[in-house]
Amino acid sequence: MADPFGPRILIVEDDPLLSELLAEKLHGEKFDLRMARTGEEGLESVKRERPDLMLLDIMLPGIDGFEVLKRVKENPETKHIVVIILSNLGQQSDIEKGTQLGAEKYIVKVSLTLSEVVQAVRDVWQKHAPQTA
Amino acid sequence: MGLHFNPADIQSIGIGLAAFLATVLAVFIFISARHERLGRPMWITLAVASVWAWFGFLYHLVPGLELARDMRVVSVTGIVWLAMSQLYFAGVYLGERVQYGKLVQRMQLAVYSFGAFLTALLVADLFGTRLIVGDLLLPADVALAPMAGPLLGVLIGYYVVCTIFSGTLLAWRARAGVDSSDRNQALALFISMTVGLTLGGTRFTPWYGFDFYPLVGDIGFPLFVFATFYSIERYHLLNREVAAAQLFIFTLWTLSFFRFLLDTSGQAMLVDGGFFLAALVLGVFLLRSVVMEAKAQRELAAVAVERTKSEFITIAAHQLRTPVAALRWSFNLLSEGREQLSEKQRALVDKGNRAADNMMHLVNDLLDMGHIAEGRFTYTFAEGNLGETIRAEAGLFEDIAKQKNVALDVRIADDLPAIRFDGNRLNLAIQNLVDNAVKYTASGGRVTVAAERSGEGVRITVQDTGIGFTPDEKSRVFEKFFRGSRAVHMSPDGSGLGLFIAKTVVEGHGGRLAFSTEEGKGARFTISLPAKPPATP
Repeated sequence: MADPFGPRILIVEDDPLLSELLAEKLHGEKFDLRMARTGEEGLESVKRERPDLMLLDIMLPGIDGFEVLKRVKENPETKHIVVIILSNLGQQSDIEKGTQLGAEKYIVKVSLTLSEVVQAVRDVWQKHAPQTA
Repeated sequence: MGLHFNPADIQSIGIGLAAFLATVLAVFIFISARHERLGRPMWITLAVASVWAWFGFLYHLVPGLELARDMRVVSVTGIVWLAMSQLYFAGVYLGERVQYGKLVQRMQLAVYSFGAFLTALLVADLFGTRLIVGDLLLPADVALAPMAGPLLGVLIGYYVVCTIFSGTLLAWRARAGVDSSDRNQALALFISMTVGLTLGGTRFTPWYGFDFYPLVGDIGFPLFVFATFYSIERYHLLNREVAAAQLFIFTLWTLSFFRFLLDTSGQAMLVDGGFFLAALVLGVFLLRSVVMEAKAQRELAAVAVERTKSEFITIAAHQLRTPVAALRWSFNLLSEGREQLSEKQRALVDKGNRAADNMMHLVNDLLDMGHIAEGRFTYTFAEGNLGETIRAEAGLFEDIAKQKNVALDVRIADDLPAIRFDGNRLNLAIQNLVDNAVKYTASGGRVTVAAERSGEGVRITVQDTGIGFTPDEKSRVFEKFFRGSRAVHMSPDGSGLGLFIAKTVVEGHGGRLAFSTEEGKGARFTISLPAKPPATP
């Protein structure tokens, strides 16, 4: 399926300012964006919108990001979705847990500039694009 | 004796009570607080007070005029020492809050020297002179004091000077108190010591024929004791449980000892002697265990406070990460559209960007420190290309160095052995060292980052031609939150945690972080990493 907007990205982030900034930046990069504020909304959106890539926060109201990731990866219909964790939890144990659950990359928000985040998204997508193209 | 006490009886009872209280207090404080700053002068003061009081008490008990006079000479020596040790106490106590000048120190020294001189005179009096303490003409259970020697007036003058001097220091300390409880405590000590010494001074009046001392003077000492107790309690120098155990054991020893002394038959003495010995030994063990228990409790409380502190830091730093990320990203977006901004706005955005970056480093440092304190700063070791890692980390500072006109040299030896390390953690250590080196080196300087083989392991050096550390800063370089005075001047921002974290990381690898410095000429930090890091738990 040819997509004039590039990959469809779902951002699951509860902080409105952070998600607005991300959206602003990614929008300029011609990504097709969807937003969700909670874990439940995120899962709902995964079912409905079938994104190619997810930017997933961990500390979310309701179901947390790890649980969302687990359910996405458990479901054969959604497990191909590339997940990048975008969190402020930076402990080694969190990173390991995320990777074990199937996240492609783990980004600590505060340590990266917005451009670096976008670059990381682009890099990850480049690695996976052929599979979905 | 009946119920009619004459002045000498009242005096002997009063001074006997004082002796008992002073000894108990001195022993209490010696056992529980002798290593503390204020504990030392306090137990010394009380020990000296008990010398004064016990010999004053013995004055009334011993038979014979000459022996009674000797007791009195020693007791008067105790008074001189009491005056001196109170001054010593007042000096230490004041020194807690106020750094007083040379003048006060010299005056103290003069007072101590004169006290030593008076002590020498009193020793001479013991051996026959009659300079301070004259002859005793009547038995001590009648005469409140021997005759006054020609220099007794000098001693009394000395006592008055000491009282005024230490009273002044204590009043000064009360004024310099940090809060009301601190001030109240100082005030209590001021009143008790000064009033205690003043009332105690009436003990000199019988020498000149006035016998009202027993009625007034003995009020002074209990007052002193109560106020001292209050202050000790306030100061947490005395642990209540320890004090109770001490009192109990002390009473047990006294009772069993006197029982043994008063026994008339050899058999009873054997039994009571055995009982006294058992009480002595068991008492010592009991006391030791109670003191240890109290100490353990205090340490536990300290650990709990430390944990609460690091938990607070972790939570606060963590909560700050989201808003700091929002700030950084906002400035990132703003600076992308910088062409549309005015020059003034651009400068503001750049400053904001830098401030947000600093804040991120600060928050990350605090979080790392919190994790270190909580034992959650763990390592994952893997074999990697250390040379590449160092080059990449040092490379992060190339732009800043160029902007500052600081030469940044990176020299990696070709024969670096393959070692195991935690990339993320070691990056942090190298970044911190290179960041400091570049930050604190002025324009035209040079920063050299080098790595070479050292036995089986690797040695990494980060050397700069920057400000260095002063000699007295050297020992504190790796302390948490420590920043060199010139560093603060050169760059006001900085958590003071970078070197602490770097050292922790290096030591977490089983390595060593050493440094050498010369003020104004630069610093050199050397990381020595072993081939194999310690096994992770």
